[in-house]
Amino acid sequence: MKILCSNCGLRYDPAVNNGICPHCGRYNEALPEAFVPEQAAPQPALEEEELWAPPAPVRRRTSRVPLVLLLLFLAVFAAECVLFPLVTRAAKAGQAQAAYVPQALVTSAAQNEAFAFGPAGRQVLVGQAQRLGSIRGTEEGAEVLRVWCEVDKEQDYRSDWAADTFLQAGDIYYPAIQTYDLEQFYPELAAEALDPYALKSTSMDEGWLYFLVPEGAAGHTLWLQCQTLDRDYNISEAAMTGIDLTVTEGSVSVE
Amino acid sequence: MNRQNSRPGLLVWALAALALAAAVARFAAGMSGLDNARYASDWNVSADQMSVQAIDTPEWGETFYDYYLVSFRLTNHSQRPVDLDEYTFEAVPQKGDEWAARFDSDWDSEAAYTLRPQVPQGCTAPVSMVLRVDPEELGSKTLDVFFEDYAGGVPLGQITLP
Repeated sequence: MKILCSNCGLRYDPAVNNGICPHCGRYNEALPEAFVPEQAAPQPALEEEELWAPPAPVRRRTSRVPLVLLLLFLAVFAAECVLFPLVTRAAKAGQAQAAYVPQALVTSAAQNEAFAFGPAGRQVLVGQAQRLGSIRGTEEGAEVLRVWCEVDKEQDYRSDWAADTFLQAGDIYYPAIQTYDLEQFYPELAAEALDPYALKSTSMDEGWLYFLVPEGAAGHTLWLQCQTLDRDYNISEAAMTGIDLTVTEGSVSVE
Repeated sequence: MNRQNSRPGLLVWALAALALAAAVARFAAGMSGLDNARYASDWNVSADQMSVQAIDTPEWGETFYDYYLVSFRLTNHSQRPVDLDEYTFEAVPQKGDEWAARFDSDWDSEAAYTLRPQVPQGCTAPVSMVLRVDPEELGSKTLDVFFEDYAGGVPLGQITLP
């Protein structure tokens, strides 16, 4: 019984050479029936032997799936290389214009006198300012300065504005030390601190605004910033109210 | 099983896996860049009156470097205050090593509260930063100053070292 060689595709009798193809030398597994003696096997017809033609070249059975995937992933990669820079550039340019904050409107107020602040004209009073000096934990060459601030009750809560505070020492602005920062090292100071956020809340509030400024800086101005927000909560306008401070020496028990 | 025919198949599978990895990595980098661009779009700053002068090596500096004081006025039209620290600005030489010049400061890592000068939204303020230069790596005396927005930077101007 002849079998087809899996390598060269030619037919041969495996019983002759123990399964090895006489044409190419490849060993092919065959059923036991294939090894019966040649004379016992049915003789192929002479016409069939003569009709044999040289076998066609063996086709390599390479699957197309990985090739398709390779081309697909390459196409995705190429598209990403083109599209991401374009979209990124457009996003940066487009939103930069939308997020533009014009130069702030500047007004002034006096220390120890109530004035209107914010879109609803909330009454705010900035009281005494005290220099506390360098307390434990502050950077060398820096000192803590605090300003007393009182805000009146507000009837309606408005979400179309926000507030912030800065202390200008010389020409440089410094932000207020946040209450949660003070709580870590000076909980007793934090208990009397006023967060800048309180300026836009509705309840009556009062407390100290703490700032860290360079030691010995001359000329202190407290700036209350009113930020008008648009529907996307972006700042569309900023207004700064400046209060020139007279600073006195103060002390705290935590030194 | 025909082992002879499996070799080119494996190669294509490997290439497909590489292409997939490249596509995924490019996607991650692209989304990160897009996120940075959205974040960066909040920054809208400009500078004028930019000047530079050589200074002596600060106490906290190293003699290996040259030091300069870069001064300018920064106008902030952004949605957030601008922190004035050495990480906010970048100076890139037009030739030579990109990292030959860096802004530097005496940062007190022991302090719980450090000075944090800022420029509020809608305001203008003077800025003075110490620039540390490696003269051996510097290929050009002209440097471009950028505001670091982590999305390519905002060009602020040029300085020429004396």
